[in-house]
Amino acid sequence: MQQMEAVTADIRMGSRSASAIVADGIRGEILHHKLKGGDRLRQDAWASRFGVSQMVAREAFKQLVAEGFLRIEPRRGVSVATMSPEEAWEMTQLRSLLECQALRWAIPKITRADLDRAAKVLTQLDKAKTVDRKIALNAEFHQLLYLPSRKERTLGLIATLRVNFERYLRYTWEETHHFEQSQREHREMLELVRNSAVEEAASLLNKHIIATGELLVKSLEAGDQV
Amino acid sequence: MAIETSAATSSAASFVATVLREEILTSGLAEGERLLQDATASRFGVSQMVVREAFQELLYAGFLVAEPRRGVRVAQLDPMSAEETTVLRSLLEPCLFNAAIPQMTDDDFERADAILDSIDSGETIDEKLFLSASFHDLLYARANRERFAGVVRQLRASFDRYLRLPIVDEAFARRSRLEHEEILACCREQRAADGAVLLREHILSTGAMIVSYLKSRT
Repeated sequence: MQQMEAVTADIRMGSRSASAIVADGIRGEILHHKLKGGDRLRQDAWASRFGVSQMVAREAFKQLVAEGFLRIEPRRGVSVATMSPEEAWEMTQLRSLLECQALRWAIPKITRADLDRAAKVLTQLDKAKTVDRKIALNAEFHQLLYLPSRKERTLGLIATLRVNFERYLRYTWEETHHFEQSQREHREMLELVRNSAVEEAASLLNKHIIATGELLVKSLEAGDQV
Repeated sequence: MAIETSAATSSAASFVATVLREEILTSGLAEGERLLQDATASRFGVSQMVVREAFQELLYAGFLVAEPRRGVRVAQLDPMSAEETTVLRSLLEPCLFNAAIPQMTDDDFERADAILDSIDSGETIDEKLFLSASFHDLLYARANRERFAGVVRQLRASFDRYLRLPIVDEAFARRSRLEHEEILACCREQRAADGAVLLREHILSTGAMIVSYLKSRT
């Protein structure tokens, strides 16, 4: 027992970053489809792969379960989470409610500097070459609009949902028509925010989120591997 | 073996989190009080890793706040936070309610009635709050929206502290009872829209009362 405590103590010193590194590794493999929905993950295998203790691997698993990437099944252990069309729809509605509220709170506090920064991000988004870059810039754009709300809890929930959902939306970024429509809506939203048109901006954001969600639901219903 | 270890650590962490949560709710631990990882580990006779896990749980639930490099403190009850939680609840709970109503059974209605009766005869604040939470859980149980339900559970759990403030008194309990009964009546009569409106108002008015009390005490 004492030995385990000593080992635990050693690991604890760097444990937070070690488990985050393992979690990043697993998350990356899931996002890039190297691990597929339903694949089982073994604590010991991942621990040896990263050269860490099983406790660290367990912490990484726990983090990813909280983010919705992994699922625990009694007696079956941990596997990569899958999403049903119903769940995708549910998450879309949840995202819409939370993000539109964050926007409503933020608009009265948004500054010209925030708006200029957001406009710059949209220009960069137009020029982005890779899906990863597009995803990051899109997240940054939305974040710039919500952050001024200063509503920590809401922003935290939105961030968790986004990370959770993002893996399923990767393919929508490769769809040109959807991308162009998305960018039009982004620019329109920015104008509405600039003019403090709170309800119109929230309404457009709702439409924007639902549109992406519907694409995903249709695709899951068709049984596409996302 | 690894699974047993992890289960043991997790349940130790849950135990520590439960005890700390109770102390925060009953003001055994004061708002703003700092909690030290090593002192807490000694107190409970567990490893610091277990304490960290317990702290994570409480941070996530809004009972503790983290200060970079300074550890954790008991979260202050603050009006802005109460307002934020209230608005989110008012958006999400009516959705769950709408999704649940068509699936609710006579059995559910009877159980809900029984809960409302027990709240009246509940002796401690803990009992009343627990039963009140059970009433809401029952209203939403048949919604079959696990994600929504998960977020709502978190929000409600973090609101528990606010419901223990002195402003939440007998008069409030009486009003609450009437509002709960009206909502239940809407369920029975399958009047989802009316029920959702009443539920939203119930959540908003409770929140408004608590926010105004907190603003007045600073």
